[in-house]
Amino acid sequence: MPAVALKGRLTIVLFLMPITLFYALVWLYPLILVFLQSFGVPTLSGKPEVEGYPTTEFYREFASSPRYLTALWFSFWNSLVAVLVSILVGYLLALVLFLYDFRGKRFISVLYKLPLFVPYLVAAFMWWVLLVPKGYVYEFLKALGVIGQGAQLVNDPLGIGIIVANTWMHIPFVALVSLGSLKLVDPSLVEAARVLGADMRRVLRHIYIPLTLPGILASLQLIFLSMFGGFSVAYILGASFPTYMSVTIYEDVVQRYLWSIGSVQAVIYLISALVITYTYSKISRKGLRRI
Amino acid sequence: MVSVRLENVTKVFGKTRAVDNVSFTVEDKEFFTLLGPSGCGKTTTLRIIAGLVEPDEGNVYYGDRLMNNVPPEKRNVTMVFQNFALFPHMTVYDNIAFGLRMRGWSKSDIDRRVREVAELLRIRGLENKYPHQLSGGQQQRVGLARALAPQPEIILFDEPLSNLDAILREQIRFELRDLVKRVGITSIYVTHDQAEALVVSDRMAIMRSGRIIQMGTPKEVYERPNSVFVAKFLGIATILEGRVEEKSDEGYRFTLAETGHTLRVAHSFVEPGGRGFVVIRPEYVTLLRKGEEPDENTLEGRVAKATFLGSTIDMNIRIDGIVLRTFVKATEMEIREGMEVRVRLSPEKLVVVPPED
Amino acid sequence: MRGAPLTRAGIAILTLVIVVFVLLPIFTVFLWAFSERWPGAKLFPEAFGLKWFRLLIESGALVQPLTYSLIIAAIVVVASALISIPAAYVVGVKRFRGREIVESLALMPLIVPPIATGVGILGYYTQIGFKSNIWAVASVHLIGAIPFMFRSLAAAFESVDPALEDAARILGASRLRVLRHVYLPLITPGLLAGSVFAFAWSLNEFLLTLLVGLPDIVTLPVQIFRYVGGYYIQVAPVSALSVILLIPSIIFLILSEKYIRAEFVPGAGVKG
Repeated sequence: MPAVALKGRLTIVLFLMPITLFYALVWLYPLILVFLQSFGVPTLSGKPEVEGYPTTEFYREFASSPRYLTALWFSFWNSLVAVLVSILVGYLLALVLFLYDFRGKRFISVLYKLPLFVPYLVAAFMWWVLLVPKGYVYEFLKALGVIGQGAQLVNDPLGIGIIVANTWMHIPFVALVSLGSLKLVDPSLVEAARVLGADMRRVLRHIYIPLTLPGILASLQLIFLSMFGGFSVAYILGASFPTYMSVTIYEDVVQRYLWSIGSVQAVIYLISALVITYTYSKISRKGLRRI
Repeated sequence: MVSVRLENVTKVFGKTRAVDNVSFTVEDKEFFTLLGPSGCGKTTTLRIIAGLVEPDEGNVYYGDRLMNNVPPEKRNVTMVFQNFALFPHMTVYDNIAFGLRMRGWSKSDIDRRVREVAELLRIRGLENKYPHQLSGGQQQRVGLARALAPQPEIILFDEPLSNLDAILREQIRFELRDLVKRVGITSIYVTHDQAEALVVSDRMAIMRSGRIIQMGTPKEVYERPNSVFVAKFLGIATILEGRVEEKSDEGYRFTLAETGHTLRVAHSFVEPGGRGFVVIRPEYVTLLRKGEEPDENTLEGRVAKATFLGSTIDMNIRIDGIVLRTFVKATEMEIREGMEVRVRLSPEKLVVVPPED
Repeated sequence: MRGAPLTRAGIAILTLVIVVFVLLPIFTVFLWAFSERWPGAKLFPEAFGLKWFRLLIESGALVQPLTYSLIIAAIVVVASALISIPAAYVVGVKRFRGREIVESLALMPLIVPPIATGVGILGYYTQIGFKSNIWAVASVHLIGAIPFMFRSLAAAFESVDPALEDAARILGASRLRVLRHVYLPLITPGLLAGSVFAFAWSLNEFLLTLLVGLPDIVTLPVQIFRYVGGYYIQVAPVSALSVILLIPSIIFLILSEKYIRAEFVPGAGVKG
């Protein structure tokens, strides 16, 4: 029935049209302009920033400048640390909520989600208030002797403030995903393990963790990317240098009108995000295949 | 090995008494079945025996040891699950070895034992496969192998065949009983399938609403149900209302309310003078041939409906106001609808049970 | 659970740490927002009041941005639903080659760093003169809102038993009437979930808004950024603004608790 098949395919194309058009116009087209601009073609800047385009001059500038390479590396490792901390704490939290019954559990299981809808900007600001000198957390840590005189927790070269705020923002999501996937573990597997002689500690090690962790890691890919590509937290809590590439792009383009080098950074930032996505899903799929 | 004893065990979930004052003893190496409709508390009872659920009241003993506060991993009991509950992230080998590893067996002992059990269940060669690569029947065998491997004192079965197709189910039933008997383990088996229960059990208990209604060998319970519920649950029966008139050496006399016929009945759970129901299993109804003499348990009627089932004929015989269901061998005689027949009900196979409350 | 590896004390300590960690930032911001007088050396404010909220209202820093934020968010919800429903229908219901590709493409906007798109949009919108109006801002909000809406809806469509469509068609319903009478009522939970996420995204989106909205369109997050983006952060007024932005966050949380099943929760937190 080729006619029917054709009609069916036409419907599919027609139904996919609105979303495709929107993204082509408002998202893909600007990205193409960025790509062209990165070679000096004045698609964004209006007037040419360099004589004789297209040119790879700006890519060479990128490669030879420590400012950009450092920013890229900083964005990567800093967000990776934040992701790992979030996963560790979020998964632990989910395990506690899943395995134990205790007083106040209902309260906690609603409360922990509070940061879920808090805007990044507000979260960054809130942690800034806590982590600057005279802030509660700063003073508390100083009194405990964890940090010394003149230590910096925000706008610091290690990006501690960024990690803390990003972690705070994402733990609820990690816990939510983990809890969902823990609940999906067939309870009879746990019972089987118990009657075969495993105590809860071993059930955790042999059943819950191997069955849930790979799936959880896979579904947390977006968290990593949203931290890696995020702007507000890094802008407010980061140092002026080193900082995230989103910040250096913002400074170059919005404050200094350096369109081409800004576009080069944008292109490389984007490619890095894609590479991370690809690698991440490669790794997490390896873990998933065994299930 | 070991016996299992439950003493007045009760478990309440919310408002329902899932298990209500249940007591029974399973002898060493006995194959014992808990039979009942879904929600009757049989699975909860099993899980209490395993230690997966703590009873609210009552005691569980293995032999003379009180087990109430012993966690499941410290009891020498294993279980075969309805959905097999194979660990999806482990190979068949690792599944079978799991209980042995938990018990701290050495690597070579594990190797030997896994091979042994795999041989016993005829699943050699599957060791490196993952559960999702196996057929239902193979998964079932792996589940059984895993439960047998640690040489438990007691093995529990939670509807282990209900996820298999009908043909496989019938096949494995016999095999399963043979196997457990050969190895010699105390077995407690939960099912809602009466045919399965009759085949596998040494003794069985029928449960309803958290209570045990009747206990006995399959033959006892099938032939002498103590209630309408058990009679219906264990198979097809014609159940007719009436009154127990008197008791004599040969049994009781029972008058059918509908027709006034009087039958001789060997067993009754109702005292003379009381109302009750007579249970007539279709296979114990015999057709009288021409020339055979009627006795007091012979009734006359007409074939209202006859359905050919291959080896047997399933008949409804209308006798005055009542309908009697019978099975006869297809080869026995020519049956036509509307034909007049005489049936004889053997008194030893009749039992009177009290009305439902 | 019996035999679990943590003790009661361990749980108590863990619980306390979680409560403090989650609540402390929010608590502190509330303190600042409602502080009337807070000398630097003191642990707590000396007096509480609505001074900062009054100041925000009187200076015009609150009402106008709040209005813009709400109007734009409403536009974004409606537009994202209209754009997503047809696509979500085919992806959720139809089996066709390339279905997975469409599904993963729909995630691309969440993978690409917003600043990268932002640079392009800034230049592009500047050249065509499409800036500093609510439609320009709504259009950039849609970039991030649609993936959430789409995934919620696709999941909802997928959960509808396809036999229902066949049944309706056999009973004489046209394709469009099937969509209206069979699917629409059944995907309401997904639509609701998608709407909450789209609304939250729009309300919280900041970077792209900053790029295409200024000078005329200032939403609440942009307003906050104006206070905190400089060298000197005025803690108290920003706290008051933050408190106002936290109110919808808490409402979204309650809504999602009540009405949103976990499988519709589509992705990471809301970024900007």
